[in-house]
Amino acid sequence: MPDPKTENRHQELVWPDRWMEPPARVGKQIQLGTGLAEGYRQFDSPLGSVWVGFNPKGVTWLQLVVAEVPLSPDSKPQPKPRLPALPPDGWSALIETAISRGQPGELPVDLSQLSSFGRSVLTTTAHIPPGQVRSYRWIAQEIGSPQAVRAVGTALARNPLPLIIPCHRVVRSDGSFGQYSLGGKENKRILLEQEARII
Amino acid sequence: MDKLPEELAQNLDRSFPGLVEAMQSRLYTGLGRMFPGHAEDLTQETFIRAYQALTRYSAEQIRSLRLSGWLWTIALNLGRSHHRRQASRPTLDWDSVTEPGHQPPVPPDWAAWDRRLEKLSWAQRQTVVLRYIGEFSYPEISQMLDRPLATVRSDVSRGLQKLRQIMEREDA
Repeated sequence: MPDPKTENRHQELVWPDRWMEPPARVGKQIQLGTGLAEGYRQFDSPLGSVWVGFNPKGVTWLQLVVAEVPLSPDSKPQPKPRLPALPPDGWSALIETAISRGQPGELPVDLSQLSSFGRSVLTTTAHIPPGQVRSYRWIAQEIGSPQAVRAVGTALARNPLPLIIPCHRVVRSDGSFGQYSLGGKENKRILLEQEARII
Repeated sequence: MDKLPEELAQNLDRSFPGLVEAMQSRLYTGLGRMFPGHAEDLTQETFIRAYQALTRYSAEQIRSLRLSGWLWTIALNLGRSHHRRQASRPTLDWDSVTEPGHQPPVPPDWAAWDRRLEKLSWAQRQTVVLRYIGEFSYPEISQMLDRPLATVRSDVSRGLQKLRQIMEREDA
């Protein structure tokens, strides 16, 4: 049996009447850890409809709509979003702007799955303004790895966020277009010609 | 909270945020008193582990869960293995592994309790927190900690006695 005196006396020990609230980032981490807030949605783009994938930290991938559901890099269907896939408040407008301008701007982007080399290539690429182009060599020099021109090409080929991170603005030093991951070279030409007209 | 097991059994993904909402503050507060500076990582890890476990459970198993006790059991296991990792590295004390700059400040009323709880033995501190923050019964605590009922009662009772002495000294 508990000692009733001790039990009663705990009344004298007045505990605070409110629980402490965990910081908001705890909820975000739980969403990330469980994958509950990952989703994707269709948007328009200069190349037609695209899927844009996101998690609470930012947008994570973009691909052309070629099938009923988006495909993962190994061409298998992406898992369906677990919850109705609405990007966080205000992101839809930011995604539309980012796609039409070809730069992330204010849109949160999550590149945490990439190597630090891949991230620095893409972060540098993200700053190339619309209507301008840079060479693979220029990017390599900008990130302090002037010898890594070929690796820059590989990192851009794996850009998970084409259009938003404008890898189409990176061309060969001789002025030819080079490769393009989002549907091939022809799309790169379409994008660059359109930007040249607008500017 | 009463409807949660049924809701989780019917649609885990849709109902899980409700479980987090209902349980996170109490869990965060209790874990912070037991494992100072680690409430945040332990809280989030507990819910992530809980979700992963729930995806493997049948609807029937989920319906029969006593959610609060189940979550605390996960949390305590995580906390204890964390505790052991720290204990096996005596040169690295708890304070040195936390980064105070990143922790939200503990409100003064809870900070005062932390100073008192610090003076209790680990067994007393753990059971007092489960009894008065978790609001579990003695048999529930005994089951969660896998310790005899009488031991749990005596730990709580001695913990309270010590707390009272500490508070009397504070008043003096």
